[in-house]
Amino acid sequence: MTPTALHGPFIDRLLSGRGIWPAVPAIIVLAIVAVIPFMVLLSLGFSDVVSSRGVIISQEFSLRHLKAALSDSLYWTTFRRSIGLAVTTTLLCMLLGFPVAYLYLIGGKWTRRIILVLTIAPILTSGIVRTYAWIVILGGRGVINTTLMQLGLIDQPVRIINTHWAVLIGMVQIHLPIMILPLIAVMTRHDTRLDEASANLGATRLGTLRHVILPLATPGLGTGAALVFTLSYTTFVVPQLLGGGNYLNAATMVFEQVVYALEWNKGAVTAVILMATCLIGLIGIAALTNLATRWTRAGRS
Amino acid sequence: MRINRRHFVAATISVVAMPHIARSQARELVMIGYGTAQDDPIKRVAAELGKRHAGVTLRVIGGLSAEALAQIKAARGASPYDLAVMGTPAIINAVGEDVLEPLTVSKIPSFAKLDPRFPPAARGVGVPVNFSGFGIAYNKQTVRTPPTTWADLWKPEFAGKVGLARPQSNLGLGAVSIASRAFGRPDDDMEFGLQKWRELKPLVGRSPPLLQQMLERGEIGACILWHDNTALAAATGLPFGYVKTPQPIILPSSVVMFRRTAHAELIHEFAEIFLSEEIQRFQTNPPYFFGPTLAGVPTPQAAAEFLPSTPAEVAAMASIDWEKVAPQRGKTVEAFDRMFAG
Repeated sequence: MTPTALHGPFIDRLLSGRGIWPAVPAIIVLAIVAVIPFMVLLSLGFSDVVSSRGVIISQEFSLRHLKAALSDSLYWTTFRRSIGLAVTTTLLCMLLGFPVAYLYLIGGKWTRRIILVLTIAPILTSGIVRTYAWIVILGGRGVINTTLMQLGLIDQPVRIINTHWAVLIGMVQIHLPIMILPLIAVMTRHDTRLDEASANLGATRLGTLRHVILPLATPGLGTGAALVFTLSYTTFVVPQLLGGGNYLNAATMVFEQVVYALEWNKGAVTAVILMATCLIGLIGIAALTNLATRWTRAGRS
Repeated sequence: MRINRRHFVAATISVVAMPHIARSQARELVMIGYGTAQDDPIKRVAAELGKRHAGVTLRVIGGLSAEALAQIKAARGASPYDLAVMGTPAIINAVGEDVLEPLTVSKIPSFAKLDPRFPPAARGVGVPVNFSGFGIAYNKQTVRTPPTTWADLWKPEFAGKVGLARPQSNLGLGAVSIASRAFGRPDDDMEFGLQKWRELKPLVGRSPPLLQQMLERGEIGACILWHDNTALAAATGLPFGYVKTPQPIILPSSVVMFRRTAHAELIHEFAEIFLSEEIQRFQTNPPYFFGPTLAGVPTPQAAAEFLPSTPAEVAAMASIDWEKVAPQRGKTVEAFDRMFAG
């Protein structure tokens, strides 16, 4: 019996990898987990719904919920806070991540191994576990406060946990590997002969870093920034655990509107604003990356 | 054999449907519980039910009722759960969403033996099986002279030491209402309650467990906390003290049944077993500390520090006017955010 006879034409087409068939499972998954919920979200955010026992009785297009959100000062405060947090996290991750990636580039075999282990190891544990570790470190009787008190620098514990600073510290630590890994990926493709050429032409190490390595790493910085910005702008766990009960960011706002207040129209509008502003942020990062790449190339030529 | 598209689709459907077929044959009830050791009384009831009906099992899924309600709403009323133990505020929300099927009390003989103060808490849809108390928990290492009344929390010596749970939880919502009551206002004057809390500048825990952790870490000295959570923490050796206020405020929890369940008869029997004296006594003991709803079930000595135990305390027990307070949860959370996070 030939394989064709065993499978039949349908399985043959599937296994041959021709046409759209290989992509079908992924398309179905994306449609189920992304597109359909997004359409439901849009329909809830831009309509007035009357339902009974979970069944929608009537649904009419309305901009009422969006208008209410945009005229509400709480939304503006919350989104300003979320954007500020995401931008600060992204900048700090760039500042802290680039030297690590540079060290990886110039380091020996063991240095590289250690950097990779230190970067990847935290990702192997759950974000919740890592965030709880910060509670232990930053708490009233945590490592920092205990050390400062033992050194006689403070009498009373300093309040770090349940503040904006605790959220920022947690966010930077959680997202730093996400910045370092794309940077390493881009920088290791870099042709080291360019560094040698730079040195031969009389450039200092700093000059080579500024005029050769940094420009070539720009796409990596852009990718890392896009990833860190998206994750930190839409993050839920870190503010939830480190920010305390009076810390509100956009993602926790959506969760509370949907789950506790059962106000789905509000939650849907907030989620749509969150997605739209995140998209604007990503477009901004992409534009800045392109601009920086062009600028550095022009500078080099 | 040639495998065509029809075979492929049929095989896929079979694979997907198999667990559901197996589940319906085994008659598994899915219940929303606590997700902690406090599920033990529920499991004890399930074990008795399993003895009476071979093949009947119970899967307890821990989580907040509010989260389960949101899940059911997302599934457009198709509940993945058969039953739940819900506090009165969650029942009011669930009735509003029309996702509960009322239990028929004539099928639960022990319902007649309930303390007559409890049945109204189930809003005509469930069976009250236990209660939790609101009280003042404090850290003995940082608070030498604990408050004795709700209003004491506003005394200057507790400034900067008091914690509060966000009002999205029943504990936080109740705490806002208690602030109103403590200063002579109606339970549902949430605006006033929030203003009183604002005066205290409390440290806020996002949820009751996180608030409890803040008390453990000494970040706060005192807070309004559930009696059973405080008792459990104290039993593990934490330096927690607990103040039963002169008029104990309680929150009854009831067994409720979701619409579209295929196990209505079993759920009625489950509620009947839960009201048996053996289970009611079992759940009042450490390490569970639940308050009993069956008339005449005494509070054991080991739980007397946390539960209303003397005849005077039992007679003084009262609940919050949840009928008026629970529907204000969304507005209260929003007002809270404007005051504390805005």
